[in-house]
Amino acid sequence: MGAEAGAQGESQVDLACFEVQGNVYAIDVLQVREIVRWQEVTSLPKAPGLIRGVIDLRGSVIPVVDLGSALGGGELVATPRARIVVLEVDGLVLGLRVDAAVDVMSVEGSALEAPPALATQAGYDAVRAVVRRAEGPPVLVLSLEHLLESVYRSALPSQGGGA
Amino acid sequence: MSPSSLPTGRALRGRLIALSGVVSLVTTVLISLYLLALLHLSREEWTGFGVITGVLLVVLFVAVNVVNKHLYDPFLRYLDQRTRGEGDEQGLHEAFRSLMDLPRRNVVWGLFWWVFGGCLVAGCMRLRFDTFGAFSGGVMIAAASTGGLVSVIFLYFMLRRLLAPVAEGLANEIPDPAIRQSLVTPVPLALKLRVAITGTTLVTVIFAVFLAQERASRPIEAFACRAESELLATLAPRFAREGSALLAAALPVERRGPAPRLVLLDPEAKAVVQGPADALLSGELRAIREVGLAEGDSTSFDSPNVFAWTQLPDDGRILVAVQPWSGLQGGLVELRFVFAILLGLSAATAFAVAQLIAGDIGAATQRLSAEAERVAAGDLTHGLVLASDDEVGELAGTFARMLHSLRDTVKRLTDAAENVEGAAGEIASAAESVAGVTADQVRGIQQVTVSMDSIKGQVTGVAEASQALNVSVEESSSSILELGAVGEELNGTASVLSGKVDEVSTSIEQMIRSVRQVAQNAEALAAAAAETSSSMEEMASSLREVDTNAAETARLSSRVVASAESGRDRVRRTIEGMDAIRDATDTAERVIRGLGERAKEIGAIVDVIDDVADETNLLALNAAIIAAQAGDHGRAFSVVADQIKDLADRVLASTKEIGALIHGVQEESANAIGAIEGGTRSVQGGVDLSAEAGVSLEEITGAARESGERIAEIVNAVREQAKAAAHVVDLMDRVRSGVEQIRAAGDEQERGNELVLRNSVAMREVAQQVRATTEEQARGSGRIRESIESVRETVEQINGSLQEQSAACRQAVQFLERVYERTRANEESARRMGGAMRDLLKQAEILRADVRRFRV
Repeated sequence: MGAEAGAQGESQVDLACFEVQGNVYAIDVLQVREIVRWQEVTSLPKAPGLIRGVIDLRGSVIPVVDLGSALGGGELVATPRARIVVLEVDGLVLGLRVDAAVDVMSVEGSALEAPPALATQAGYDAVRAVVRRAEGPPVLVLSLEHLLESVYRSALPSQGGGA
Repeated sequence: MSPSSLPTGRALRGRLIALSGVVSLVTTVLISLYLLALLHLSREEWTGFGVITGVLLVVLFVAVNVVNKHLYDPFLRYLDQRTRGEGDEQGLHEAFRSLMDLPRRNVVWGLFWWVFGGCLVAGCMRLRFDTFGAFSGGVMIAAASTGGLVSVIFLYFMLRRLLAPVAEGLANEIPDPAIRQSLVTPVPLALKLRVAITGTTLVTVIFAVFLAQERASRPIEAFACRAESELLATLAPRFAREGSALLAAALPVERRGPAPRLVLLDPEAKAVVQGPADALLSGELRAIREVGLAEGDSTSFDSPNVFAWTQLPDDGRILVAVQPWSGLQGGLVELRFVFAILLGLSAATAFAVAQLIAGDIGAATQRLSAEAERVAAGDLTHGLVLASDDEVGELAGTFARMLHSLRDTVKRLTDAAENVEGAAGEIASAAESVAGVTADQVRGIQQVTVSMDSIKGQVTGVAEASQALNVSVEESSSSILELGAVGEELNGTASVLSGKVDEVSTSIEQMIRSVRQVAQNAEALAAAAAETSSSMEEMASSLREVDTNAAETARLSSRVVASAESGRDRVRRTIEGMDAIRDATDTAERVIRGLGERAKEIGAIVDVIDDVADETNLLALNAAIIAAQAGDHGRAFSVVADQIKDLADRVLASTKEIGALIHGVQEESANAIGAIEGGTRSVQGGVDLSAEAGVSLEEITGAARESGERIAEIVNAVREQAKAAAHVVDLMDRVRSGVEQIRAAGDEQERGNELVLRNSVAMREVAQQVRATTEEQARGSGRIRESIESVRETVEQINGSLQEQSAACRQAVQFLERVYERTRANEESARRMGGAMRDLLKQAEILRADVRRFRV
């Protein structure tokens, strides 16, 4: 959280861009550990909500979330260009399934525009900012807090039933 | 009446049932109307009467038709059999008897059924309604009986009319009137009249009697009722005060006749509550309820009691004054006696009148009948005189006229019979005289015959003498002939000589004729040879034509062979070309397939490059991420990473293009292979077809060659034939020259023959001269012979005339014999005629006796 606030204050921001179901999304490079090829996940029995399973990443086992499902679309399918973006947020390592990794984009801090007020006033907080590009549609900067929260929330009903 | 015009049994049965049904229905209706006029019944009773009558009418109609079946069954059965053509005489008699009896028996049975039906209806009514009294029952039975009587009388006459055509038809089939008479049961006219007139009179009188009694009793009943009503009117107010004591109290006697009794009924008029319970019948209680409880009396309906009632104002009970009807009709009893006497008198009068009419008609008809019987027996003497002014009188007059004319006829018949007898007697006597004359004639002819026989004997004697004379003349003639014979011999020798010469001459002529015939035959032979020769020429020319045609055909067939062989060569070349094409396409296919393989290999290599570029791209991305995380220190590294990533992207783009190109190459090569395969298939088809064509051409060549050989054979045969024909022509020429030689030789011979002929003619002349001299000599002896011949002829003439005379005698005898035979025949027929005349006389005698039987 502090890292994000700090990043916003700096003049340069590096964004790792990737495609999910035709849209281009972005995450701050500082929160990305690496991007690896798509590999089949080992599904966890009775896994909570959005967590599809786990993969073995060079000796450490990490959970994988399907970004298509997490963003409200359908589950993604394997293509030659499909990737898994490995995140590291506050010591938590997490894999995100995406259709393709596009680029690392370096933008001015001022280029980050807030999402439409109409959406935010209605409690929308999945997208943190929007970056316009010279070519192609604008890039949507995802809010990792929201993403993680929705992952946790998806896991809640089974735990909440127990409490 | 013809058989076909008689109805069938089924049809007649239908008509009978329809007729009796209609008559019964009408009678029932009329009887009901009769009762309606006489009886006063309540509505309920009328309804009951209607139902009972209707049901009984139907039941009795069926019962009557079943029970009375035996009355009409015989003739209906016979009519049915007759339609099928199987009726016999026994059946016919039975049918006729039953048919004629039906109306009479129907009267008896019908009357029985009507009386029975009336009793049945009356009994039923009595059982059903207790108010239905003896008077009503009596009226009902009387009505049924009298109505039934009239009905059966009508039915009798209608049945007779209905059955008359059938009866006549059947009567025609029984020709004997005596049998017919015996089958019919006679019903005298007097009986019919008596029954009919008495019956109808009785119906009217009985109706009048009942009506009178009914009319006479009504005022009595009305008066009694009024008296009872008045009594009730005075008693009703007192009833409240005195109560039931009043009922027991003696009523004041204010008028004649028995006093009415008082009875108290419950308010509903269901039962008697006070007083004798049997005073009123339940039907009468019902009548009170029907008329009305308030007040009323019994005048409006028939009942055994006469009563009136009124309803008490206090408690609604009904007070009834009642007295039995039998106590009121003192005067009516006398009236009934009068009516009975009236009834008896009218019946007796009607009976007497009927008796008189029947006597009038019956006596007259009986006398007529007796007259007719006498006439039938042959007594025509007595003329009937019957003074009557009706149809019977007319009938008697007609009968008398008939008798008169019959008498005339018989008289004329008697005269005619006597005339016949006279004439027959005359004829018989004439026939007898003819017979006598004929017998005389026969005798005369026999005498003539005997004398003719003696003449014949004399003639024969003369003839024998003449024959002897003839013999002696013949003898002298023969000695003269011997003299002539020597001359004849000489003459004969000359004749022989002449004959020989003639023979020689004849044989020479014959020879000449045969030589000429030889010449003629030779000519014919020459002509035949010429003809043969010319026809052989013709044959030769046609053979030459055949030869030329065959040669032409042979040339053509050899040309066919040549063209077929060249065709075969071409086919072979075509097949070779096709094979070459197939080889070339196979090669091309192989090459293109190789090309496809190579393209696939290139694709694999490109895939590898693609993978490498992808990996490079990923690495560059991760490098860029790491560089970004390194901040300013990693900026330079970040640039390198970007460049590497760009390179990798370009490699990826290129490999994508190469992949597309390779894909295109592969598709094209696949298309090419498909096209080549199609071409290969077509080439193969062409090769197969060419091979087939080659085989066909081989066959054509073989056939053409064979036909060429055959034609060559024909040509050879024709040439040989032509040679033979030429040989024949040569032979014929030789024949012709031979004939020429024969002709020349014949001519020479003929010239020699003529010389011989001339010599033989000269020789014949010499011979004839010799014969002439001998003939003259012969003529001298011939003259002598002639004179002898004339002597003999005269003798023979004498002989001939004698023989003719003898023949004439024989003819005369024969003729006489024929005359004799004819006379015998005449005699026979005269005798027969006599016999016939005697028969005729006998017949005339019998006729006269018959006619004499009639006393005129």
